[in-house]
Amino acid sequence: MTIFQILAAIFALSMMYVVSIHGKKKTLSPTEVGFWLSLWTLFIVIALFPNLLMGISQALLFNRVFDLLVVAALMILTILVFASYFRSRESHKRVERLVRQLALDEKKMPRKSLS
Amino acid sequence: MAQTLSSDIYVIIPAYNEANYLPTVLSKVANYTRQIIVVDDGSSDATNQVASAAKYVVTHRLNLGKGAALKTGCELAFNQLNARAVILMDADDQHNPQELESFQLALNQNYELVLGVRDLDVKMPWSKRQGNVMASQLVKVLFGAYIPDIPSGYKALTKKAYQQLDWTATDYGVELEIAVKTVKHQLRFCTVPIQTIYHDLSKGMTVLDTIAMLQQLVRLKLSL
Repeated sequence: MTIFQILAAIFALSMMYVVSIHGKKKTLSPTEVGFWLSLWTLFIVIALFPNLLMGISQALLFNRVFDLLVVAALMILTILVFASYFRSRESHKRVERLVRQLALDEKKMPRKSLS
Repeated sequence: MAQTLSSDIYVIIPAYNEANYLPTVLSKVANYTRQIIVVDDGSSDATNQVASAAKYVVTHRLNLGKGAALKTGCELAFNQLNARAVILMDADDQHNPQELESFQLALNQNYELVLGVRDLDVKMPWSKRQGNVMASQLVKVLFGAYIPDIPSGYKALTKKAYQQLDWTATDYGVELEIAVKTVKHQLRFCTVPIQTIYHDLSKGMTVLDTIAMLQQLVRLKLSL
């Protein structure tokens, strides 16, 4: 086992700890906790036994399993960044509409003269 | 003093933390019109209190940016107050209200959009001047028409122009979006010369804003 594999496993274990904290604080639902814990468990398994992916790696013509993992990680990251970009843009638009609507509803109009 | 602006033309002043300059701006503009709308864009200082000198005050609970503040002001003016046109002014006393009449004059000549243009060779800091000229040149190259002094916030537009411009930028990018859409929609526009006034160089558009503006230019080219 290489140092890199050990570090990867430690990293995944700390991420599982973070997930469990968010689960206890109820910021993640039980389903989300289950999803992330499974994902990080899979990460540990692949980190410790990379040869499990040898077949896929060879089928996709990668020289090393590591190359396959890097490409897969980049693809996942790209998807996540793309999705979060659109989600944050949509949220921003909703906040903008809400703030502007509230401003118009609560506008201060001129006082009418008594005379 | 006589109110020289027509009552169906509203002056919109977006303000974010401008408690220092806003009273001066309001008192100067009041010499020309009472139809003043201040949009307090979520200020944390006393802007909202000093803004009460204006006839209409709308308050964003959160800071959204200049583009969003202008949009709120325009919606109030056009949709609720039946304005014929609006004149947009900055709240930092960089615009001379004496020039409001030039905007009205141009609007009366059936221009849909009137752009206040500063003399770039006078007083404007070098970096701002370069960004300013570059933006105009890029708009010319990418969209085919030269719009001078794009970052200038002193401009007037009619309801029809507002509906056509329909900007989505919430920040300083609104100035560039207005310029680009003016060209794309072939709005009937003219320019009027305005004074170059700077009080606080740390405010207004920065070099970083100019870079962001250039990125936005590429986005607009791809999307329009």
